[in-house]
Amino acid sequence: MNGPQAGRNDVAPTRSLFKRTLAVFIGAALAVWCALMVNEVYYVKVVQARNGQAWNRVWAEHVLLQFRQGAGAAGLAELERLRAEEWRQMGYEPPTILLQVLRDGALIHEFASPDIGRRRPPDPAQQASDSHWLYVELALPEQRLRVRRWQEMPGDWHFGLEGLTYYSRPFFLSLPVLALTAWLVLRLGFRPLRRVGQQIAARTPANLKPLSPSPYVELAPVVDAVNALLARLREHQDGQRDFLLNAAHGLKTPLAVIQANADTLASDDAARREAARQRLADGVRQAGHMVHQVLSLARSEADPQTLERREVDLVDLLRDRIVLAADLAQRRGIEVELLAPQDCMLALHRETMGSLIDNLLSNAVKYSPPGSRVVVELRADDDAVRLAVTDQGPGIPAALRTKVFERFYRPPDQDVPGSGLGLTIVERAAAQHAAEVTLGDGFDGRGLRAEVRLPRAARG
Amino acid sequence: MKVCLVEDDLTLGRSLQAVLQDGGHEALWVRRVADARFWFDEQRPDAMLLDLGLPDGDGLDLLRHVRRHEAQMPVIVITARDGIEDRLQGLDSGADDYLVKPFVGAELLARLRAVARRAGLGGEADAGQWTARDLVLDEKRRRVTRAGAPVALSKTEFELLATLLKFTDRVLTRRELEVRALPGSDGHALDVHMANLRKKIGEGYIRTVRGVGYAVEP
Repeated sequence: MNGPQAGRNDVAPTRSLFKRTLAVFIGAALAVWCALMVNEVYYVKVVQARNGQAWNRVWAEHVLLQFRQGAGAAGLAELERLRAEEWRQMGYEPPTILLQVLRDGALIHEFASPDIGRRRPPDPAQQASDSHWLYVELALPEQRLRVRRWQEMPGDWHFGLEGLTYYSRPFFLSLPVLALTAWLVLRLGFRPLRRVGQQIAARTPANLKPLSPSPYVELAPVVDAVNALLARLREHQDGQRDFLLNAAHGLKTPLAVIQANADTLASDDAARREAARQRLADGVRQAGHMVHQVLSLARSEADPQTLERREVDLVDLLRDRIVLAADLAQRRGIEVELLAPQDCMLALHRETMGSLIDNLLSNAVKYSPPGSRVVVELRADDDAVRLAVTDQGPGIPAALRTKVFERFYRPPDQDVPGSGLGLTIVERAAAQHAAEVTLGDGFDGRGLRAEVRLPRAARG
Repeated sequence: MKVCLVEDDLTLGRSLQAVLQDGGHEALWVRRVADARFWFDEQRPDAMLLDLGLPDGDGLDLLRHVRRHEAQMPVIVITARDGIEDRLQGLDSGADDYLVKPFVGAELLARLRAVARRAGLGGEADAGQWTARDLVLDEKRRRVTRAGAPVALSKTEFELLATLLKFTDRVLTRRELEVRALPGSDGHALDVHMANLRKKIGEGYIRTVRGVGYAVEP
């Protein structure tokens, strides 16, 4: 038997739902952030580079246009200043550029952004875009002009330390918010569950009241399941209490017989003494029988899962039990016979199957008139084994044939002493072997035929 | 007969001691496995009554200890456990018979007498003689008489009758008879020998329990 502590965690719980929820939140935020970063990289590397190159070309064309209209160096410088001003007005740093205008291959104008010294200037000999500079070259053949323009590749800062702090800031700022949210969600979300837990903890064998219903859709099934379990426990407890009361009551009668006769044993009258001794022995036998039956029932009510079944020769077991019943049968002048094959191996729990056989046999022998026959019959098919005990006793009226399986039920006008547990034990023991018990008429419509149909256990 | 009674319960122990003494036996009552083992080793009683539920050990272990040193000593197991498994375990461990609590004193003495007689104890004048009404089997002289007239039996028939007469208190199953009287035979041999035996000793002595076995009416 396990104590009431059974099932409780032997070690303190180590996992934290809060940590788990927080980790999921952070994981989700991180995934979103990574997706955004991928999008950002694409935007910077592809879209902004394309736009930058378009700007570069447009401004180079502007420069050519100015030249064609005869603008001088001052005009071109003013143009660059306006361009930078436009960026600043929009709130951006203007991109760094290098502009060269050549006539017949000789440099006639050059302009560089003032901050060009901050970065590695473009190599004028390398007339192509690279990872740092966007390059464009335009020509105006009739004026023998050639314009070269380098503009910084946009978004370089995105991939430096500055960019990292810029992009990770929102993520780190959101962490405390996530933690707080996780904590709140759990705290609020689990409060009703904690309350249910407290209610369950307050239940004791003496207090199996149902839990108060939960208004939460998510919790209602749990509460309902617990209430159903409590109801089953209550029912079981009531059954046990009834059983205990009935069993104790059943013992009181034989004990009363014993007590009533104990004093008579001191009588001077030898005949009275002998009669009292006889009745006292009967009382003891009845009490012993009741105790035996109660123990037997307790055994046959055990969980079938916990019973160890073994391959047993049922014919052998039947013979063994008939030998034990033969003594009483012989005294009552009843002939017991067994009609069975040589052997019949079956996966059985020997103890409970023995009780089943004993009770069927003792019923048959007890209720049969002297000189009658009790036939035990065993027939084995492929799918089931049928065990039948037939007698020539008074039988059981059809109307009572389900009632007699109830605990402590005894048919009215019953003079043969008994515990009222015999057929209950038979039924429970049969149930443990997935077997059915049916009661019918005996030989020629007289007496009782009790048949147990034992399905052959699923092999393997 | 010197009987070692192993029973831990005071009231039951005292009662059984009285029953044994009233039955003319010398009762050596102990309440623990260790004491029982000591007295068994020291005194070698003639028979033992052994309760299985003892406070300082398992009665079955003691039984095995006894059987290691005394194969023939009659041992009756007394048990509160009326389960089949307990009974079979007791008999498998070498008990000659068993009694389930509660039992009547007269029953105890009768069982004790039966196991002692089967073990050849008692030293009565009729030792080795087994009877059922006017049928007498003399085991030592290997002779059977019916109403004083000799009955000639084969060796197997003699063994069969001897086994039946030794257990007049109960039905013997076919298997028990085969094991004790016809070792190594098949199921049909028993029927043949039984039919012959009945023919020779006459009807009315051996009762058939159909499908189960045979018993001799004492």
